[in-house]
Amino acid sequence: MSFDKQIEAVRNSFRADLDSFSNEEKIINELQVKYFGRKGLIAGLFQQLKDIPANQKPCYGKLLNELRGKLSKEFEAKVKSTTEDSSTNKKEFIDYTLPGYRFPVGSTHPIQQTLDQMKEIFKAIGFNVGYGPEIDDDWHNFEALNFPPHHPARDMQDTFFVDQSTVLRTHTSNVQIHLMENKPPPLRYLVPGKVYRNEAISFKHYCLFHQVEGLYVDKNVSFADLKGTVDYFLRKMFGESVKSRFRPSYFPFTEPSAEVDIWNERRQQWMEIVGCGMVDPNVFKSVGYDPEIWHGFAFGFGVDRIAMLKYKIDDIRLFYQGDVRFLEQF
Amino acid sequence: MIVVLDWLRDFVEIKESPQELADMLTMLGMEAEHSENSDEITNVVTARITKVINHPNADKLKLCEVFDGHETHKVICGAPNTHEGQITAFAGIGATLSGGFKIKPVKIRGEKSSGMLCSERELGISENHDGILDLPENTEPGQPIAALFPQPLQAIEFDITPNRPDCLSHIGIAREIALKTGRDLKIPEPEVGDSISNAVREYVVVNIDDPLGCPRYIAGIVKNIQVGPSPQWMVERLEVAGQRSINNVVDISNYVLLELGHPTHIFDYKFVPTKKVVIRRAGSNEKITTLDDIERAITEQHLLITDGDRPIAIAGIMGGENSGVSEDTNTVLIESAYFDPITIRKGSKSLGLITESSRRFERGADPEGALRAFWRIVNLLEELAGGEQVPGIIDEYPTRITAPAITLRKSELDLLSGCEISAEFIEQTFTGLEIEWQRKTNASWTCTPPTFRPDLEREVDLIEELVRVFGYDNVPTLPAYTGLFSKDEQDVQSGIGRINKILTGLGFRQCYSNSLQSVRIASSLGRQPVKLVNPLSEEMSHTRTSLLPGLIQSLQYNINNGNPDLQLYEHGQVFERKGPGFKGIREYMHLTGIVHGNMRTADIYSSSDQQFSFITLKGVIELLFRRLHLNLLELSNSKHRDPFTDCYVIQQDKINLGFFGLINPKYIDLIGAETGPIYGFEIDLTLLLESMRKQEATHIYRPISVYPMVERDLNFVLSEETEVDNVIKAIQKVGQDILKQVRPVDIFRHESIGAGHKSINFRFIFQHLDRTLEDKEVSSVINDIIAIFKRDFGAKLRS
Repeated sequence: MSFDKQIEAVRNSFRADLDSFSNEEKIINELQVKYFGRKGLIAGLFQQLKDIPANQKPCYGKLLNELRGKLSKEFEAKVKSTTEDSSTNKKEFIDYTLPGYRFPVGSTHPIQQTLDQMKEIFKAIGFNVGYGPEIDDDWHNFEALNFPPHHPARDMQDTFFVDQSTVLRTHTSNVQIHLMENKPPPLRYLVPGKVYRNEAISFKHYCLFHQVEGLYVDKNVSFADLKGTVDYFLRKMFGESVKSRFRPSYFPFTEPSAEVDIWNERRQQWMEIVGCGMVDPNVFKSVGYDPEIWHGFAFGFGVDRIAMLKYKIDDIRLFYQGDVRFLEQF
Repeated sequence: MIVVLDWLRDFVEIKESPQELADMLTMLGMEAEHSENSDEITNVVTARITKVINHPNADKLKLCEVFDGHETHKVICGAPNTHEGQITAFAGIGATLSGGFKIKPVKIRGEKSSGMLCSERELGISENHDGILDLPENTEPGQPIAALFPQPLQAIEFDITPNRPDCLSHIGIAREIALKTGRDLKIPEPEVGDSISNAVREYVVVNIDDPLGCPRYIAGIVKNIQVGPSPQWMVERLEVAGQRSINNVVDISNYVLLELGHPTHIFDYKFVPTKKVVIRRAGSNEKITTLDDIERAITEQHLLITDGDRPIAIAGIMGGENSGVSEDTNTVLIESAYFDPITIRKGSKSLGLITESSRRFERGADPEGALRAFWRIVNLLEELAGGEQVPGIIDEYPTRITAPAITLRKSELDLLSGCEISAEFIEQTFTGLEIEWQRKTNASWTCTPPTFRPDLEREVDLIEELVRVFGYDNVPTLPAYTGLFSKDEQDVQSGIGRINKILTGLGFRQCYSNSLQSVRIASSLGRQPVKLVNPLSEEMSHTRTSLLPGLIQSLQYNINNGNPDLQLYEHGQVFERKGPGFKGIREYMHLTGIVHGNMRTADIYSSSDQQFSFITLKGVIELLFRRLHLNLLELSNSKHRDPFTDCYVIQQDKINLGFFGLINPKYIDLIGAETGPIYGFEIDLTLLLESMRKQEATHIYRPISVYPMVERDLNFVLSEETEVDNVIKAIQKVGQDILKQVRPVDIFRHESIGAGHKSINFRFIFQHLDRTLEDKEVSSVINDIIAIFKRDFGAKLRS
């Protein structure tokens, strides 16, 4: 028998033994001795190396080393796999239905989540995000927005005063003025923030709430763009089936002005969620933009209202109580 | 503004149901509010109950057979007064009741009911709902209930925006309906009496002392008045519109106000003995008792109607008690004037007195409408109070008020609206709005608005009118953004998103709390709060100077509801007054959090509760900064910083970012809470966000060594007072480049190492970026470290 055939025979015999392998200590020892022992079959093959011609010796040496490495790995793997199989059967019972380890759970506020979602929606159509002060002067909160002193429109927003010409902002629209005073047109901005109203606290009203203001100024901005933008937002926020209506209204800083209602199926009534319109030329004049060149639209969404509609919350005060039984639902 | 539909029908034909009308006007900008009388009651008739038996499956219900004059119906009724032979109101299938409730066939507990017997409340007759309607036994069945009980007039309440004073009247609303539907507007022309005769001047002369405050004053006299009750139709219309009937003379003035929108005033002529009316500014110390019986102090900002000596009315706001109409009035002086809006508004504001009259004048009455209103008053006084006009009128109108001429360009209309509105529609709408127009070119018009529309001053005002009447629904919904917006704008608060993720990941709940607090709480940290001049209450009279009180109040709220184990945080604005006026107010953005109670409660995996402590909060701060890659965090102990005791300062580059520590129990008391120990932090968020932005701008990757690291543990005995942080900083200095990490892994105290001492096991990790470290290199650094321990901290190496 040639040396190659002898090697092949050892290999085949090993494979056959592994196929009929049973995990018993006696058999493991026997096979260990039979193949890998000092006088085992592989050692026997090494013995025969001395009879191989010198020029072929390195080649066969390498071959035998590889064979020994490979077979011993296969043997160990077989022993290991059969050992694990049998020990599983004996393993003690673990109740996997026990609750998992408790990790702390936190959450952002539903107003924050709604604000974040709104920011995302508007960032996708190229709105930058800006901010402004919550306590502001009369100029930014009213006068530059075309609320002349002694104008009845000032009664539309119950205002907290710090002094005669300083207020807690009644809307985020004050930031429109700050932005336009500091930046040349065109611009497209979104302004989230807290606003204040001097209204008795009830399930419907709180002394503060959140708005998201939008302002887009460019040469050819139209009312149709405003409608398209608000409609885009409503579909993203409430889904494609949202039912809304644009109706004429009045704000001193926009003309034409509109309020947008969305249909509240549960309450069977329209619910106002945004006031908007085309920026009034007087607003452009007060910030030094030429109204013959620039046009724009502005809107102010009520974030609390949107969150209330989205999650079917009936009492606005829940947002400001910090009750974890409420917070943990978001 | 409550609009009575019956009254509206005097001026325009109405084919719509009240709901349709409300919707139509809402879409024109007059937002309709829910009105009680807007639902018509239909198909309800008188009927006799012929049989009553008990419901087999319900104790309180009865099965009734009801005869409505034609046939018999089976109806279930729960009213206690139901009895055989009773005549009551029967609503059959398809009938509509008060509140818009429609009757459908129903099954109640297994029995069919085809209709309903009604209470007075369900019929809108009264508030009585104790039982079903009880009619006299001789009432014929089958008569419509509406015939027996005339329904209150239908009305719709509208929320009129301040730019539309003209719509604070029935005529104004009728004009809008006519405009939208294309129907005729029928404005009855009053019968104009003698305006030329001088006879009236023998009764009264008018002198306008302040023509800016009072641009027009029309006066006239009607004599031989019979003061008495108003006719029923007028009483009814006024009451449904929300105006109590007083007597025919006063009612006429109110009626004309609601009809035409122009306020007028009627004086009892005998209380104007001077035969003079002088309109002037008030002096500094004048007083007048108004019709509501309140004595009011008036000042220079008020405009007065006087008889030359004493005030008889506050112009445009309210008449004086001393000159009002009473039962024995025989001759009246009629005032129909136009007052300056700002003057009236200032006067009304300073008195805190808003009347139907002041509301209209401050928004802008119609200077031309004054004359129509005058004649309408004269006509009604003659018709309903038997009066007789003294020939002639006084019409002081020194400078005629004219509306400005405005040019409308179709190009601007199309650009702003984003749609094509035809020239034909434009002209038709102008006509409907009573705007005088002339076509200037093919695509521009010169327009003069009517004097009752003070809101129409500019081209854009006309554009709004056109788009409004065109219908917002008919404008396309098309966002057509042009241009790219790649200005180098950054959302300066975008970092808050990262902070939110980290803190919520650690188990914190985000709160939003009230920014308004009591002065006691807002000033408790030695920060001066901003005071409101018109707060809702004392508890909300100042703006917050810290977010801690709100969080502690929320904590208390949760403790009261059985949830004491909490981690809460908030970010938001706080305010401080640093000087006088608006410029003295500072706004800061804070990030504040508190922890309270147990961090873990005992469960199957841990046998004991684990409370929040200083160390757990410190871990939060460390983790937050590590996640933000702000590794320059330095903490230094600073004993006093309200409201923290044992306070630690969070510093970065020598700037104080904030503080954390145990909150002083006295502060918790002051806020009115009763809690366990609270640990909290307060960070200036503006500064933190700035650090984050700087870090992000310079954030680069650090190479990772592929060579083996060497780990060594050394045990040192230190005095109890030695602060580990100082030790670590000293070690890091001698560690050269190869000391990657050093941290304490065990602290051991035992008498064997001596009282007042602790043994700390430090673990050192060494690694070189470019090669495998040699033993002697490590040993050399270790020797340096041991030397530092000995020299600087008097520490012994413990084997």
